[in-house]
Amino acid sequence: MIKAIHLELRYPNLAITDYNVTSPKSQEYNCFAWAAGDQERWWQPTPEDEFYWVEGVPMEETLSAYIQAYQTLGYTPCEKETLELGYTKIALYVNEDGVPVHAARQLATGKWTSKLGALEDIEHELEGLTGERYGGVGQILKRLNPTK
Amino acid sequence: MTYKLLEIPSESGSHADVVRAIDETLEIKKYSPEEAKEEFTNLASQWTQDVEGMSSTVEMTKHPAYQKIVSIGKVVVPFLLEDLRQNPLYWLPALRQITQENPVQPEHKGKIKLMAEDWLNWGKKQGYMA
Repeated sequence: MIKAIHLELRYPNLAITDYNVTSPKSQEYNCFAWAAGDQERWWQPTPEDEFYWVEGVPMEETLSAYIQAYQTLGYTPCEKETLELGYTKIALYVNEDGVPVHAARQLATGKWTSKLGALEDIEHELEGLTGERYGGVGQILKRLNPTK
Repeated sequence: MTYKLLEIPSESGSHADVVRAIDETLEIKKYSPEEAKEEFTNLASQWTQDVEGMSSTVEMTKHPAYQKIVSIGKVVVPFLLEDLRQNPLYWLPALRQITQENPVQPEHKGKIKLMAEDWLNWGKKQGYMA
């Protein structure tokens, strides 16, 4: 397991939960892209339309807009974050105003994978990233895994 | 830009007095390239420390240090462009806010290194960089 003190300082719950650093730092993609399986773009709705955003989805930082963005990939809202065989889940973290500030994607192990802004990717527990910076989990989404 | 608390004469209160009071108290800071570079270096360090790990560029650019970098104006543009080589993401919104330009090709939107390349090419054409 690779730990990183600079991450534990920013996300104190990491220090009291299991996590593992899985990539070097990168400014080429963010958590919202990573949760969608995109490592090539920075997903961000801005009024200036500067970065990538899903066509046809409102260009606004609202939970509704983020849900709609992931719905274009086949995700639908669900209640539980527990691992369900055959499904991939995404957790949307929201701040105290309900604005999405982070997204994590569940792995087949039940752990979650996150890209931390312009920092590293990590595998972690859902609670590991709750706190001042990423608030709490505001919505879980799930999608049936494609058949091989 | 720096501002001082406006003190309007309480007794006279004429229009001319108010205008004079504004002129005397409103200071618009003009930066030399050297001052701009030093200010940018200090503010960028502080900003990076505070926002690394944030996922939203909207949230990142609301930070007071970022807004202060933008307020330095066009004299800071060469330093933003220079830093894009190391940090292709960070100064894309600032460049757009300061210059009111958008040289990013539509197909490059979200592809950070290509967006930075478009800005660097723009900087060369505009004479901001060698």
